[in-house]
Amino acid sequence: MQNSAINLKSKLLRNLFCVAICFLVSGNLGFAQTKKIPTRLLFILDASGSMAGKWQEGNRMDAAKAIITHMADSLAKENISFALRIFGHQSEKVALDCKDTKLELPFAKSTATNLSTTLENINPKGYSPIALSLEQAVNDFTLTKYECKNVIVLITDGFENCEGDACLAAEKLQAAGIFFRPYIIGLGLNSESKIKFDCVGQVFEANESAKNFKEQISEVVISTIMNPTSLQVNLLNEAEKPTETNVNMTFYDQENKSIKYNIIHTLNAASNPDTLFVDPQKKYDLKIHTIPAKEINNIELIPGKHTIAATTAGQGSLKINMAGTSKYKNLQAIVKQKNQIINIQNINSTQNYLTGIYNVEILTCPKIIISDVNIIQSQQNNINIPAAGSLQIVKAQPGYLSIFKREQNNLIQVAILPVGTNKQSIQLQPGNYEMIYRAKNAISNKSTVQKKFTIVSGIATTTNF
Amino acid sequence: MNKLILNRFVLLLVILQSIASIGFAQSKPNSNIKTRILFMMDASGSMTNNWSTSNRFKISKTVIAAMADSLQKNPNIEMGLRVFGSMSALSLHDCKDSRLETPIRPNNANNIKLKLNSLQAKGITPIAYALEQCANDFIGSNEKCRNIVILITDGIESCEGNACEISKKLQQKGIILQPFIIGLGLSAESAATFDCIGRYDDAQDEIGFKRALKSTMNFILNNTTLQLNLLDEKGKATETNVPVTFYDNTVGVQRYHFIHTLNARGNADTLQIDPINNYNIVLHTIPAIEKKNVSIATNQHNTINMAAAQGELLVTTDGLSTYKELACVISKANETESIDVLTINEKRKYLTGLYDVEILTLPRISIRATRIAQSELTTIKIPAPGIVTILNTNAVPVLGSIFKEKGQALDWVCDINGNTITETITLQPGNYRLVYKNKGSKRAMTTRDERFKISSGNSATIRF
Repeated sequence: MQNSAINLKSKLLRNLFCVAICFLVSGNLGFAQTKKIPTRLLFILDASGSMAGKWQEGNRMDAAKAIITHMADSLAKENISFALRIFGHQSEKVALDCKDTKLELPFAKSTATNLSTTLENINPKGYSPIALSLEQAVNDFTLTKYECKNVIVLITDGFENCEGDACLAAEKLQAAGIFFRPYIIGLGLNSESKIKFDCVGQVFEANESAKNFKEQISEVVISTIMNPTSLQVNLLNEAEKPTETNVNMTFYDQENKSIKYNIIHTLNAASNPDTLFVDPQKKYDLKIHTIPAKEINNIELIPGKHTIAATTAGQGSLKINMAGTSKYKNLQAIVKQKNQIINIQNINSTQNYLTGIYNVEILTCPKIIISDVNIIQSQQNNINIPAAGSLQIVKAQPGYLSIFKREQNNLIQVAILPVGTNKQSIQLQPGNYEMIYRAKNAISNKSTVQKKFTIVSGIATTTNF
Repeated sequence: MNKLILNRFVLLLVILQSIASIGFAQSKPNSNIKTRILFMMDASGSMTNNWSTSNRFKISKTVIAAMADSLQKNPNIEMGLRVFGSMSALSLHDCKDSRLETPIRPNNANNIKLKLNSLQAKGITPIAYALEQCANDFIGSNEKCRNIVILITDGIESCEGNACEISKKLQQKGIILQPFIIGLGLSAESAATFDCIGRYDDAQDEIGFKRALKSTMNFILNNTTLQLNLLDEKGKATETNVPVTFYDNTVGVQRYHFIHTLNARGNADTLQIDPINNYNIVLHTIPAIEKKNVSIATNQHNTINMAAAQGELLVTTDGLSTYKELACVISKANETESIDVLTINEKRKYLTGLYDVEILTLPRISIRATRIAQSELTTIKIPAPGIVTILNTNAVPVLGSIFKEKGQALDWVCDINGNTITETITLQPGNYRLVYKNKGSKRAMTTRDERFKISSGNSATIRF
């Protein structure tokens, strides 16, 4: 067991054969460690022409059959049901058959006898439609009324040689609610195949030089199935309780900085942060998309264990309410923290923010600046602003027109109207204003017309020039 | 006697000049502004002392009467008379000895002259009290009136009052403009106490008094003009069409407010301006420019230059755009406070320099240090957006957010509503992901991660 684990980690692939194992766990499986859930395992067996290659005294096909048979025995003890899909076994290589994949033994008929009968008649022949096999495997897991942990074990000696994209197929399994990256046990994968399989799933190796290779590999795989490596992310509120949730978390592969997963943080039925199943062989940098975002770097999973990562992410919410019906089109507010814009929030919508102090700049006319808005744990901060009034301006001829807000003695320019427009409506916050207008072609300062007016919430005013 | 005739002639000239300037002023913006003059006359005991050819009180009466006669010809002038020290004897030390003898009215010269004849000089000099009381004398004037106090005195404050404070307060409230003071035979030391009250002029004899009153009237009924040149980067006065506000420098009250204009000859149009105050001039460019404490030389053509070099900015899209009312927040480069919100497809002038522009598209576009150059149009073109339509065919509430792929990173763009069957979101071109799960799901691993691409003018559809 330990030897195998070391092998697994070092990813030495000296064997000619390859056994790939995929896990396919239904989306309903949340906390395997807390509840005994029945497991179903689907073998996908490569029976393409290359499987006739040499393995120890026999060929790869013999080795693969031996592994499946041995594993099926062990599974029976763990009360795990299995099924068998095979590809490349129906058409000869010359037929170039890339649709040669078939569920040969469904879960309902999977007995040791049936398995040996089925395997007996399989000979390596054709092509390797791995992607197609993975796609079709989804349907091999018949729907059940109870929660099921669905696992796929793929046994193959090489990478896809049809047009299919096994990486995409594996990703689609996740998108369909099957979130485990496939595990691949390599029996003599060449280095190129090994790299290509990296995006499909985790690679295991069968050791050709070990006499007991089938026992070794079975033990590793079954142990992994029974003791999944899992992760829990605790988002702590200000009282250090893991109650914050419902934000997306992006898992970046620390090695190449690529995006591995997007998982929306969820509290499970017991109101605990739900268990996540991610590739245990990667180190992750985690970005939690709160506003502003939080990060947890260097997350490392311990194989076969449940790892907990945590960060403070106390949140409260902000709502900016405008009384009455807003006639502003698309009124927005700029939310800043430490002079950085961190969000643009629409009026009358609610948004969560990390607890702390923010500045809010509401793009009314004139703009409203609210400093030191305090977002408090689990509380909604309501900013109420008065409803605007509207001013309709009708100009007999094109001209310059500016609107000023009167603040004590000072006039602050709040709007400049386009020179050419003859008729325009503008929304203004309640208050005392002045506007000045001068015809475009006027040649004297005294052509300026000055008007004072007052804007009242919800009231429309018209001015003619 | 000859002297007197000469003096009268001079006075007449002054009056004619005043009328002439008033006549001229009528064609200017402030032509209809009424000037209300309150003569505030000292009738304290000391006024009867011999002075020049007669005594100060008699001379004051004559000079004020003549001035009242001449000013009456100007329809834009109203006058009144307040006196202090005329009611109580010196020995009573009456600090409230002041009365409005002739309320301010049009065609008031005869009333003032009649009143002057009946006055006697007796008491003390409660200047502060008199000044305070004059606030009521101007009641009923609208804000377009220029309310002016001319204080004529031969002594300094003899009560506790603080005339400086009162003067400042009345100016701040917009009740009066800066008062004028004519001191009759005052020592330099005494004269200095009036500096904080208003504009002081000194008269050591009758001729000096007439000269001082003439000069004061000249100042009040001026022909002072101002040309405000707005300079471009080459120092040429080509910038224009900007609103300008003149604030009274002392008290902060708005005095003039107009849109800067070039006249038919292409020069900055001349403004008739009151030289009584110093001004703070605010030019409502973006950002605004202020020039503080500008003093105006009276009876002259003043030229003031302000650098106001501007260029234009336009934010627009390539091709057809579905953006309406898209806000672009403008701030000066590397400064955090925004100075303007520009709507897409709308041109606007800004002072030349570097600006940061935040375009509130989804996701936001930040443009740093855009240069606005003299008389040039700077155009920021952003890609036309595309649309993603999210069809929640299951009609199960969904929790989801849209992220943009930025290199290898994901940036949050917006949350989706998730409760509607159809939702459309306008997005800039790029590669996006919609990360979502059913709201009711208690399993994190049910999260879906859907990639989609937005290109200009096209739409993508995601079905749940």
